[in-house]
Amino acid sequence: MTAPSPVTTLRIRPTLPWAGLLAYLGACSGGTAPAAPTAPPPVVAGVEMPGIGERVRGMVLLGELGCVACHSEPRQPARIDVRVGPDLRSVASRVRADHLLAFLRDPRHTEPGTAMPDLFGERDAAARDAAAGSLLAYLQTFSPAIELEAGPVEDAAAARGRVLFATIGCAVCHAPRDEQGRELPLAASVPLGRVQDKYTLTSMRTFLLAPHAARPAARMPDPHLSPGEAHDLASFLMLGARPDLAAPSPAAPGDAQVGRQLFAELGCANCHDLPDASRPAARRAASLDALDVGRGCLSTTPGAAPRYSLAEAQRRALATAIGQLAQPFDSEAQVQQLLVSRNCLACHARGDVGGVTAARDELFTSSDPNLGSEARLPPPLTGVGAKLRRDWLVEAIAHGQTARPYVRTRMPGFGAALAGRLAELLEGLDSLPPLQVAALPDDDKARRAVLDLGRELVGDKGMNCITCHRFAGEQVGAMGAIDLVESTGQRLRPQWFAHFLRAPFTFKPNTLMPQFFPNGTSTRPELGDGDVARQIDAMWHYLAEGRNVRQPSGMRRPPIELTVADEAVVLRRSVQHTGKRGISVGYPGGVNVTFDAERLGLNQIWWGQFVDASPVWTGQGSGQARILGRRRAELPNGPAIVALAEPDAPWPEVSRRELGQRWLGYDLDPQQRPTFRYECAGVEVSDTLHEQFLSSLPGTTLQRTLRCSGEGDADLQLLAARGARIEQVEAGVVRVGDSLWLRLQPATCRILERGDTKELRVPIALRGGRAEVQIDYSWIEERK
Amino acid sequence: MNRRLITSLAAPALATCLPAQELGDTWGTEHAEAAYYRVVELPLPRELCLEAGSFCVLPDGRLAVGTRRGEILLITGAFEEIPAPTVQRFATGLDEVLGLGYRDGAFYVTQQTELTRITDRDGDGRADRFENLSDVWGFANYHEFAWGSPVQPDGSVTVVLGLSESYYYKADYRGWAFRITADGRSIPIASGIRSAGGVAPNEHGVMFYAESQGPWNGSCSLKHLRPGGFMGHPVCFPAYDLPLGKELGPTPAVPKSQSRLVTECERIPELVPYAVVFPYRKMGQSITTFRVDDTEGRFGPFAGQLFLGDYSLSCVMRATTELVDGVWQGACYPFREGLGNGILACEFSPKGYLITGGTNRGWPVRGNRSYVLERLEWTGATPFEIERISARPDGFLVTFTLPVDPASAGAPEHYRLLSYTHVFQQGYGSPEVDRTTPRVTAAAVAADGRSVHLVVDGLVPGHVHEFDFTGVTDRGGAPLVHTKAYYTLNRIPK
Repeated sequence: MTAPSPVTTLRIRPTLPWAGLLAYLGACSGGTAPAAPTAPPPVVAGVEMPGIGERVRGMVLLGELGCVACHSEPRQPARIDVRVGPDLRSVASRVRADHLLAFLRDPRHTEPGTAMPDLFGERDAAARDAAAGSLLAYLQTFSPAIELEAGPVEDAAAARGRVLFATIGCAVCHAPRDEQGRELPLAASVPLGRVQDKYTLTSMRTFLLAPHAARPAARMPDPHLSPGEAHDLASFLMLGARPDLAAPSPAAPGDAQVGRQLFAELGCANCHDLPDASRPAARRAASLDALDVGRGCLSTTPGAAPRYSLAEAQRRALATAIGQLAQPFDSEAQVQQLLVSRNCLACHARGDVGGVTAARDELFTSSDPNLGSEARLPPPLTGVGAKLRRDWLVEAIAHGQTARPYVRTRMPGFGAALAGRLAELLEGLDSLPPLQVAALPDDDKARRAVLDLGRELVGDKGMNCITCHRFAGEQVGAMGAIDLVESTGQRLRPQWFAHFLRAPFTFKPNTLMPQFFPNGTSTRPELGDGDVARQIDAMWHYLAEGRNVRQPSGMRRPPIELTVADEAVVLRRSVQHTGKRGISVGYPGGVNVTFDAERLGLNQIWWGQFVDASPVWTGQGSGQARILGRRRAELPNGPAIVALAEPDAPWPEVSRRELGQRWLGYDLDPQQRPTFRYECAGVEVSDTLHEQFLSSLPGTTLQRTLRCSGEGDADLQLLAARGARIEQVEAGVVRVGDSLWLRLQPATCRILERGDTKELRVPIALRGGRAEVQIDYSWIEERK
Repeated sequence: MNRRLITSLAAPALATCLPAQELGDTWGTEHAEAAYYRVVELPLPRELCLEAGSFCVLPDGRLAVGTRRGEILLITGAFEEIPAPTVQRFATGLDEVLGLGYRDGAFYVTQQTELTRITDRDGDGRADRFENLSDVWGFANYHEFAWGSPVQPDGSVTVVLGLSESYYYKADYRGWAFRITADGRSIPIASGIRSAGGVAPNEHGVMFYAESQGPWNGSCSLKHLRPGGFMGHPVCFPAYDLPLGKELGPTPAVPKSQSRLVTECERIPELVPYAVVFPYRKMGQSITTFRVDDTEGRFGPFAGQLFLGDYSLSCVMRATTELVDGVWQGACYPFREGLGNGILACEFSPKGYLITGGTNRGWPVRGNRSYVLERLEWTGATPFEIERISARPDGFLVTFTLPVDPASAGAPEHYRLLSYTHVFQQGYGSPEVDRTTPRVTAAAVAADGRSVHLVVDGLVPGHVHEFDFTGVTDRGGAPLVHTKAYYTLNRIPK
């Protein structure tokens, strides 16, 4: 990140531009002049939406075209939401100088559809060039001229950007674009023109990351792009940029002082705020109700007035709105005016108006097709003021908060100003018939009973809501419909919940949500006496508990099986039977062990699948990794290798720490097989386990090699097995329990009887500081 | 649905139906903060199931991540302007990695049961040697977390050991801190820890740890791991009789419950007061890893300060500390909220990004997105913020990031102060008690407008001093991004 460059504030002598400004403001409603050059009309995308009355359209245009920036609305508080112009403090750093010059000279031909009128009236070409140059020079005193960038965009980024453009909602307001980035004309689209010649890749990316910074009116909402996405989208939009990027000089061919004077004379400040302390304040022209709609801006011969090149329908709508200013403009009309001005209705229907059109339907996709069209199309706004809590609704409008992550089209952010006003209007307008959710009882026991009933109904023994809906971030089944916990208490009004559960189809004709209360009766009559209100209230209170809610029945954690492919897998977490310091290893071929780093010995060995890690990898991780295989054999507890004064002395029952034994760690071979290293009685042991496919035995065998090193000669013993059944069937081949054969090399071993149990002791004789013992473990069922 | 159906729901009825706000209110500043500090999610495959527990940045610029699932992942491209991460699994199968350091080609990894040195001897990019450096502590329960510091210049790592289930002493040395040297010696440093959330040097290079609210802790706090010190929770005293525990000296006196920390410190010389209190819910609920902004201004105007995450509230806060009369104290400040998950770890990159990550499972958390790694980026615009608060003999010196408006900042009535402390007790947490309202009697704005010297009538040693700067504006009349700050005044400078 770099700090913004310091802005030089222009300090010039105040001049007196009022005469010019007043002359032209007067002309808006008065003067006559030769016909304006024909230019395409401004585009306000939502205004052509079927079902919008002419008066509302006119009210929208009065705000969107900036009419009320000059002509005040005669009513207070004003009902028209005026759109301020883009931020000009940074425009010279944001937009290429050649584009700005062309735009100032002839806005509508440079950026088709722009709301910016042609302010140069009857100036000839040369005068337009000079005026544009001076204005640009003035603007460049607020921020340094943009740095041009050479070089083509990265194809892969542009390809990703194209997908974004089509899926996240760009193409809902703007015309779709082909692979080369050419606009494919489509009605009701805000044209982008040649944006690739307007910005540089960097400045477009910066704009896309924070569009409200450059365009505070937030008509371009914030699509919440990551820097990477902004880069990709900008790369796509820069396709086909003029190759002579470095050619035009960024320096403006004009005089900043003249530009400053023009800025004032032309009334630019009425729409664009600039931090020029000495500039004249915006001036108001005649009030809207005092206008002659046949003259000035609205006439086809505007003379010196701003030239809007209005389409005939726009002119009519404006005239209608101006003509009816004195008449009441109700809240629903005000809502419609706001929804149209932001093109909300291109995604959302409200009542009979708006919603996704057939022409754009295919742009709306879902990441979870199982959930049907509800998961693809943005939700309707019908009755939304009675559905959503005010603060949720405000966050949704202002910052794009959403409860539907599977809808690929993003709810963008429209800023706090719109959100507050729209949410207030919607809340005032929308209501539902009386149907209260009874308050939770104060009494603890009664309260608990309500919550338990709710839990039972939500779970798999009740309505089984969790089979389709996510629950506190977790998904049980194949469907991940709206999260019951995240989307209820913080988001919904309880009254709406009560109505919706009784009759989902009334609210959403296409919903996949079943009717759980057909004909006013519960489908689970055995719960809560089958009382519909009691059941619905209980579900509300249960779900409104939020994230600390107890999980309902049926939310079993899915197992996280660690599978073993062509190399060993190590899991060092608390494991069944061994406990906290178990190091479990799954080997290719289906043999598995747990080495205990506390006891310093092999603690268990099993065959087949390795472990389920979900008990240690979900929730707080309070469980133990679950052993999945079979034919498990447990090997003895207590220190595994000791030096005993007498060969037949009882095996010590103390911890290895008390014996001074040390755990050193382990090494992995290239196939991730560990060699455990530890120290017993001054002897360092390296304990290697290796899966073996022996021709003499079917299935897999585990070969264990203990290599010991120390000083001189020493006699240690390994406790290899303990149990009721330990038999040596031939020299060095020992049967242990019902599961295992142990084959020892050297073949020496001793089986000691200790009451009902036997111990298999293997001598480890260090001679010259070294000893090596090998033990092969195989399963009895595998040996014919 | 006919939206014109009549009637409306009365507001009081609605209010009774609303759920209890378990996680408290937000600061309400997320969108204002976003203009200065952007939260950027690193695009990582969800299948990675990455739950960060610790970070370190390698000399070659890669980001190493130790995870709750016991992996060490090496990420290339995390610090590109447009992040383009590629992930390499360096090690797997470890036991909840909540401490990660790197020195001379080796990782120093704090897992629940040991401090392990991990190396790649054959240079194939995967770990192949795991050496136990210390496993002197015991375990009885899964809820016995071990947090490790970065490797210190002397090659040592400090490990802090949470109590069993965060309440009990059921295994050796729970509630103790050890310094473990590069050759594997375990030197006890301090006792009395409850449930740590991170350990690292403060901005002056002195080892601190993050402590959680609970028994003997009225609120979360940063504490100085003073060698030989007792951090307040006496349940771990049996370890003073263990072989290593004896090295720490005689067992301290048991503190009196229902007392005040400042009172007990006078009675128990080993007891170390908290340095910076994070008032519960106002400033996090489970503070975790902290790091010093060592990026020399690339992360904005707070160079050299501490930044730390909070698990429950998914936010990042700032803190500054100073040594007064031999005792550490300082202040904490809100910084950035609205992160994706519960923050367990954070780390600065040399380019000036603050990487944050954590988890959202097991405990309630505001940011409920699993497997998210985010980075905070300074947008380049300087926020109008309290840069720091320092104690003065007669009050405080408050430094701002931008020049203040002398009129608003020079008016003593624009500074509201509240002081309080917590009950030092066996029971869980504490309300804010012994409240007073110290009064700012003079506010002298420095010539450069960057600081204001506040003369305060009624300073209370041992109390948190909560500031409200709502009336102070910058020269353009703009308010502060955050109007609150909290100074823990253990000692008044002489």
